[in-house]
Amino acid sequence: MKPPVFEFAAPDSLEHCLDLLERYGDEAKPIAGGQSLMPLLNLRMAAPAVVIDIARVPDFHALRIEDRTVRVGPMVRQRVMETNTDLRARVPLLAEAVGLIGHVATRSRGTIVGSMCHADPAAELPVCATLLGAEFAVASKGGTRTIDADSFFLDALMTTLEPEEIVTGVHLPTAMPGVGYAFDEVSRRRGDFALVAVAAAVGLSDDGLVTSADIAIGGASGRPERFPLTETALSGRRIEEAPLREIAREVCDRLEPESDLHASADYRRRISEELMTRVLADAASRARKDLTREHAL
Amino acid sequence: MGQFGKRQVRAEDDRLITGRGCYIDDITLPNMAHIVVVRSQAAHARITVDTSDARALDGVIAVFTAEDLPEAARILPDCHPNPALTNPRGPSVLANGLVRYVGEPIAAIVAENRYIAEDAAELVQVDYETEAAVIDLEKALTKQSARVHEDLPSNLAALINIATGNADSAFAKAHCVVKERLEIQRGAGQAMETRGVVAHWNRFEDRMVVWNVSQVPYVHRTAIANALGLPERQVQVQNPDVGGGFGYKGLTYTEDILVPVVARQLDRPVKWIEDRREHLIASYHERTQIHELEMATTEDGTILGIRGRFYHDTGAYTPWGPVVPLLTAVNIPGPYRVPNYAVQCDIVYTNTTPVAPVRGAGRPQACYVTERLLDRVGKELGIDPAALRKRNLITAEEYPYDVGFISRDGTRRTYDSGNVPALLDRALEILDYDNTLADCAKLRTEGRYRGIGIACCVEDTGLGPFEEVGMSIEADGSVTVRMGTPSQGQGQKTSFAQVAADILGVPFDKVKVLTGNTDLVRYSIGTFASRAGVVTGSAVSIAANQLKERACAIGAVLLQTSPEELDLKDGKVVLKADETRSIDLAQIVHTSLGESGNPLPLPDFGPGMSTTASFSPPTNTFATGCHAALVEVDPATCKVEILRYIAVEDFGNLINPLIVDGQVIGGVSLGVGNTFFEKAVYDSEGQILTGTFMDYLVATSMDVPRVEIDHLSTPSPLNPLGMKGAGQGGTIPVPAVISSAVENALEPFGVHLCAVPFSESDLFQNLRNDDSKSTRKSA
Repeated sequence: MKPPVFEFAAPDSLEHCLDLLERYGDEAKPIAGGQSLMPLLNLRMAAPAVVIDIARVPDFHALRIEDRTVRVGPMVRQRVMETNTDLRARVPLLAEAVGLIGHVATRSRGTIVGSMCHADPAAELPVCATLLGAEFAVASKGGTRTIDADSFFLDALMTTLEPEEIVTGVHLPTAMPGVGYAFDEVSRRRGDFALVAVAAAVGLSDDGLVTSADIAIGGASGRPERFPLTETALSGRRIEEAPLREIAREVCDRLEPESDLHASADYRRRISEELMTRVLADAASRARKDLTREHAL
Repeated sequence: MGQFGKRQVRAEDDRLITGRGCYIDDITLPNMAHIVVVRSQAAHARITVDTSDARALDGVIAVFTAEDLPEAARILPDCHPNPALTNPRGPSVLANGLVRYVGEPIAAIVAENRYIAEDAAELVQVDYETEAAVIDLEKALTKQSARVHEDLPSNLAALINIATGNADSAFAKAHCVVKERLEIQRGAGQAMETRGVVAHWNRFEDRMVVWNVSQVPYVHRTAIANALGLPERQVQVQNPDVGGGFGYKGLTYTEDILVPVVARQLDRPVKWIEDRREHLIASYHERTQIHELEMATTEDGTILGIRGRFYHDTGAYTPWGPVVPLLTAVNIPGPYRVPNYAVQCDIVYTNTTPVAPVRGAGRPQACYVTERLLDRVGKELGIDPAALRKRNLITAEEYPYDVGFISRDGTRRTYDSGNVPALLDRALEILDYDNTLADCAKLRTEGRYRGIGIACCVEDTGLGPFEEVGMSIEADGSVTVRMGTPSQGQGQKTSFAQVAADILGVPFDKVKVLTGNTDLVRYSIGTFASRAGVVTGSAVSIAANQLKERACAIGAVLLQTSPEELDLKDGKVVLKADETRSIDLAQIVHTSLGESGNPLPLPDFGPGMSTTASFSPPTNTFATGCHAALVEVDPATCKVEILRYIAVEDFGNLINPLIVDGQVIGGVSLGVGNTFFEKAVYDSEGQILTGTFMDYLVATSMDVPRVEIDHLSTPSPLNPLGMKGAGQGGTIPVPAVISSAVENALEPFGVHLCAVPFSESDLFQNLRNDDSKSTRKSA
């Protein structure tokens, strides 16, 4: 479990980083926290000719919390989701999901963007990005572009990022008033990748009727899938009167999860259904609390 | 002073937890080369090996196959030969033209560093001419099956029959007979430190010096000496801090021989460190058994007999004789009265990693099947599980209890002492059984599913033939203990220091325990089978008592009294009647050694304060335990939460309850893994699918509940300190207990658990199957 020989580069600016990516293309692999790439290197399942350590690019460490958007640089560690109260308040979905991601030690090294770029379909952060409609700011020598989460995640461990491109930040929308968020998963052990992870956002009107609902499911297909539910029987009802189970079943019957050592496809499908009903109810109840608080203010 | 029985904090911990431990990979010698082992990627194949590209790589020093190295064609020794194993087969050091499991060593690359060695390993070309792989344990015994060993008539390594009474006539008159097919799947030990060997030829002393992670350094000394054609005194085996043993480090593996042989051949220090992937694939596994058993009882649930057959998967070879299945076969009756017993065991070869003992060693399987059968009886007859067990437990008055057949060590299996009904009562008391049952029933009406599981077990511990100890009182009055049983983390430097300090009346920190070096004492067996505490601990007490007697005899001369009037206290020999009259142990040593050039001042006693002692137990002493758990299951996700876990243990007299508690907690952790997680999986071609910790899961600290531990002690009459072994008792009952609890929690759904480990997905499947079954029944 030692990696094969590779060149190591540690650029100290975005410019230099992009030069290297341009020069080496798919021979190169950027490394941030190394929580996925290091095992892949050691198991010789990845053998890039050049490993580009992006930790010395100063801008990459930036976390900007703005009114409507949180901009997360590619070197921002997952641990921030536990320690930064402002971030937790602005993006409560991350605050809830973070405890399910690995362990303190891995979160202290692993980065938010790194996990998203690794694109494990059962990882928590890609599910969050998918639900929230995150946008990935991407740069290359040729210029910059923005990719939304729906088009970013392609399949298991695959994104639409080109070899000479790098994500310079992920932009997450902050929580909207009257919208509640919830995240839940089933994993073999605490801290493991999810067997299935489900995130939900439910918006309520002042009188408690569902105005919007979205869910994202990870672990049940090659990439996290988002299902807009605003047009379903949820809309215009109180959550407790909505046919959650039927809606969840309808969504989950469309999933095509795979069986592996840890769980059967059938289990994954049925648990998606269960988790979906739970997170929709939780999200709605949080939205209601949010409204109550707004009114109290 | 009372050092014996004290919750003494471990002397080892300060060094280990501040990163000053020294493990195999911390040993670095000048000019050291590194070995990587090339392993079979096929489960069963004829091989031709071309190493020319690997040899040509820069930085590669040598490449060895069985053809290049005569020593590599040797068959590795069976560590526990036993005539019951009629068809034993061992692997050669390196595969000789044929491989029989994925991971079997084929070649050794020696390079300037591990990175280059791994690069070169990828360049070794192995041509596999594959043969049909034998994977399925039951199909392996069919006539059509391919054979793992072509020279044998079938895949049967041995048949073992264990019996007492007359099972068939007991079954004929039984009121209740339950029958089960129960499966325990393959698991392994996952010590934090993988295996590793460093060897170098010491030119100054003309001897081979080896550091390894061995539980049996004296066995390795013999094996290495034989391989190198040296007398044993020219081989030294040392074990530094070793990060966990689990039993499977008690065998002679390829690398234990290969590394010293290569070091001798190249006249260079050589290091081999097993990586986790190799460890998961090629360090020996355990557990796989399929049982088809019946239990017969009277109307009130009294056991009349157990009979049936089980199949034990020994993998491709039999490196530890028939010990694991034999232990299962003799442990099935457990702490219960089973007057009629007839069980046959088929030991079966498959093209999988060989099987050796892993903490518990055949006993978790035995406990699991018996307790599952008892649960079936309870259900059938409507008897409370605790009451049913109590009815069948051997009572305190019945000890010593003759089980009725021969044990693993060839002696009549006799439980020396015990009081398991008291353990059960205590466990129920801690659990607050009646109220907890009522709570479970109430919560069930609210749609919450809690259940209780209980299991009792025995463990044969402290087995022979002997351990030897050397002990000296130094010139400064401190004590040195030398012994042969190495530590893999058991805290021997603490507990054995307590035994010596207690008897010699010296402060605990004045006793230094030395182990892990075959130069320390002449003979030893090793640390396994929960034996070091009992056997070495007894030898320590005997040696300490010899020195005490000697100190008092010399003290009597110096204090002009008789030895009977004296005692040892605070590092002194004191007059019992007047403790102000005393003499330091240091003074005694000094006096007895005399002055250079002069005659001995006390010629009757000889010089110094040094002794050796050995202890040989007549047979095993039996530890017992009763575990209970309260779990809650979410029937929608099938996630199980262990709310409470109670372990009441009888390990006889405890040297250090703190260390024993640690053993129990560690044991329960493995048991939790054996219940939910630890599963080595092969596909039908014999490829192992669990080669990383992403696939092979162990219970982490996040998954293990707080273990509520209590100890009740019935001292063993078989050793001077009344001790019993505590190394495996924590593990043995766990799969049985949690399976019972989960089944109990899901009783309304009619869940029927017949296999461990089980995942939430397995439980979900089980729940749905039983749903449909009960629907069919009611329809």
